[in-house]
Amino acid sequence: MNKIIKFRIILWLILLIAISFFCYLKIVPGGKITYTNNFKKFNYFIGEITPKERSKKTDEGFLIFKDPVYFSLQTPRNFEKGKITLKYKLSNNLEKSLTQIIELGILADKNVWNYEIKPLENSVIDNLVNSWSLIKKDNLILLQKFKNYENIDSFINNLPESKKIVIYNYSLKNKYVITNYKKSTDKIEINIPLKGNYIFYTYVKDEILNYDFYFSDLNENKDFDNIDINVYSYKGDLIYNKNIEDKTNGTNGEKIFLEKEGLFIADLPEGIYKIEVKANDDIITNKIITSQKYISFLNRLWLAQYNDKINLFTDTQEVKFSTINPDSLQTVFVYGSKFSLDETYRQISVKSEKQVGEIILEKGDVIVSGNGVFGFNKDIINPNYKKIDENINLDKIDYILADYNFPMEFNDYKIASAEFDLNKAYSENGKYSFIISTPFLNRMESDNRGIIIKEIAVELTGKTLKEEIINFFKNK
Amino acid sequence: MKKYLMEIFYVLTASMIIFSIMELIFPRIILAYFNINWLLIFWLLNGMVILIFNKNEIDN
Repeated sequence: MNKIIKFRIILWLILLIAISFFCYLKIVPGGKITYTNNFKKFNYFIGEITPKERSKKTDEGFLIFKDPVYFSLQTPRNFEKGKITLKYKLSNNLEKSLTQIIELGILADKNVWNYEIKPLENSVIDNLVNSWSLIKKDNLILLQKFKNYENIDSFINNLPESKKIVIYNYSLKNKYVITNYKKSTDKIEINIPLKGNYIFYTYVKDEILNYDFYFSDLNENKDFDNIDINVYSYKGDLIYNKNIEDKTNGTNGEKIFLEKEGLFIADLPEGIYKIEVKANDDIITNKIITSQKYISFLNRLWLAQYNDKINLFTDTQEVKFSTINPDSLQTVFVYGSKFSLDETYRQISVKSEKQVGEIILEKGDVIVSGNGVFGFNKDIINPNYKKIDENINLDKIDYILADYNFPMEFNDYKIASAEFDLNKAYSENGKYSFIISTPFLNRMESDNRGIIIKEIAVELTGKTLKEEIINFFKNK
Repeated sequence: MKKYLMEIFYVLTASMIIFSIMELIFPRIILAYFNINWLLIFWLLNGMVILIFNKNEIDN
């Protein structure tokens, strides 16, 4: 064969192989692929850690010095599971914290900015492994101060007093019963407006679950401002759902008052119920009227614009306040002490050892959050077991139940992984958003100390090409 | 030599067209792994060398 023809064939073969190679990487026929970013050069799949105000690139990797930070993952096609592995270490000048909790989350709902959080490292658990009795069953671990249970099943089937248990990354169902409960004879009216989404607990016994919500739509952003009202039983089962569609979708900033939305469910068995109002920040709940005695808001409340004093009660041991509105800067009274909310976009946190405390705000448009519940009167209920957080006091705790994998140690570095169901996560054109939560870093005021992320690796698993083809023909 | 350069030129031209079409249909299918600008630079250099060969042939 002529030399030039041989050369031509070789060149076109190279092009064909290159095209096949790129198609192979796009299709991922085996259904499994791993991407790694060590932050030394641009990586299309795993984005850099942001924002710059809380992280910076160093020779060793990305230094995180404030909480929280984010990164993105671009997938070439649909996958079902994503295992994210972080290789990290504490910077040399960082003093060891006893409550060093590092968590990773994936954006599950963009409307309410809700992340599904998984643990990477929990030093509270790590430090107790040598001093408390440890029982392991798959990823589930039980730590006992005094060994009273032989296995995890006997613990779950025969739970001790709830105040002696703390949980972590595990949902332990608790049939919360209020002894001597008497239903309210009067209607409770909450006239303090709430912004966006919120979740609250309520209690029902021989009565109708009855709530009236008065919503308004600020029409400030361009998204549809739909509202979902979900009711869950104590087991976590969804027992009621109502979707209120946004028919106007205005973006002109014109406030529209929506019709009253009634929630009315009869014949419910006695127990605690969780009600979720899922809405974006354009939706204001101006008023809630209920015949239920208890209404306790879980973890976070965005008190909307309100020009009068607001009294709140909470069982949270660390309450956090923040505002984005300069007009809402104010003095806050928490558990009788005065604190100044004097900067926008900055969270102030106040700690207390009290079981239930009062919070007094001069005005609204403030986000109040904490690991507990909030109520507008002293009658607050919290069916949840205590969770391990930065402020945990283990003196009165005898048991820790957690779904947790201990991080591995490799030279100076630690390697920890978290697995996520990508079908339940929010993605935009195959792009997922992740959060790295390191609340203990917020106690420091230095941008030279923190966690150094050396490497992020993502292992994606999904259907193989063969399975995709079979599915395609099955569905036809 | 010129014949070989011409062959490379044809393949590079085809590569650029095919890769651009693939990028239009599936964004970042190529760019995620390979910067097409390098292909364009190589294609231009190759074309310039061919033109120099052509000029020398005409001059001779």
